[in-house]
Amino acid sequence: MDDNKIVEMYFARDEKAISETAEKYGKLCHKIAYNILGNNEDSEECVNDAYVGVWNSIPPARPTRFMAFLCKITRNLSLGRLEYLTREKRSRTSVISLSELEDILPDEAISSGISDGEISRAISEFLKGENETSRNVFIRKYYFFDSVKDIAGRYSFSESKVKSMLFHARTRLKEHLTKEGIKI
Amino acid sequence: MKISRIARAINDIDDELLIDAERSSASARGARLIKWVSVAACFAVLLTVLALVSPSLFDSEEIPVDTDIGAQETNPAVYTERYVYRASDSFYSSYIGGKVIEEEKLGQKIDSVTVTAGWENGSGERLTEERLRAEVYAIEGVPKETAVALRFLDKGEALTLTHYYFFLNPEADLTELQEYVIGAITPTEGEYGEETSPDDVVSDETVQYFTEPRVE
Repeated sequence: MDDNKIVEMYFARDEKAISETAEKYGKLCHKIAYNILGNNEDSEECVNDAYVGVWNSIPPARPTRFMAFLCKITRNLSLGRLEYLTREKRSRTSVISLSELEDILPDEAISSGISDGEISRAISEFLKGENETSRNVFIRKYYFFDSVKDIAGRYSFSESKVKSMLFHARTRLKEHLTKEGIKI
Repeated sequence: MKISRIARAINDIDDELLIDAERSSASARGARLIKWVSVAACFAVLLTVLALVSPSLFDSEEIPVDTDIGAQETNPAVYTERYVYRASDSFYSSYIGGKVIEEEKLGQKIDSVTVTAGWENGSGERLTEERLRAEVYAIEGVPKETAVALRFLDKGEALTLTHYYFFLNPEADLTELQEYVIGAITPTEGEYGEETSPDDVVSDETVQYFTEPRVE
């Protein structure tokens, strides 16, 4: 079903909107949650919470990009859940990715007065300046939390090539954030 | 664990970037299938042409076996990254890796060593790092001060657990062991006719393990 039609169902408070969402995007949402959390039980809970979150947000929100809207809610909820998981239960892949992100911009290295929105905008600007392949690999790793192996398989790259691309992208992002005055 | 602000901020990057990344994955899978079908078709055509033009190619009794597992020589002008390993803080600290060596050429196990391995870029900057344990074997008729063989006990990114790798002292005379060396390490005449020493010829190119082109 077309995304606009699904959104209209939410506006009409038609509960079939949730089942349509699950049918079209359930697998994607579960993958995002599982990549972050590393287990099916917590992932399923987060995905169900995401559906509730979308139901409660639309209306008044009318997302123009429903897939992205849903992914963001799922990712946010999953990261929130990750904060409370014990070390044994956490996904190693997501922990590594989060650690790599923190190396780019530790919280204590953020200039005072900079909002999260400004950081998001700077990262978007940086990504738009990257070549398409590098950009997509970066987003697969640090937004979707795909493993290096998955990314390599997806794009027919070697794992070492993926690691090298990510390393260089992180270096360039660090420079960009410093230049934009976000990183001290 | 606390989630950093940058990790949360990435959540709100432009929607179009997200959608493109998700879509590009699906189209990449289709493109991969088309690529492999095309490669297979081209290979079939090439074999047919070769069979017609050079029938003697298919008459050879022995097909050369590439023993250079994990270490492929390619044009260094194109590829700028290499996988290297060093055994610092040991007798072998100056040694560098070479090609795969046949097991039947080996002698006894003489030592154990831990190497630091990883990818380096063209400027010598280390991109990745891993520590690997290895067993050291003598090579029949070769003093250990010249070269030994390593068999790794930990899997390295560009190494296997089942092969033996030539590990050579670049300052020794390796004339008899050229087949295991990556790149030329013999005294040779320079471009202007002057003689060069092994030290001059041993360059970083002797330890290049290029596997795939770097994406710019």
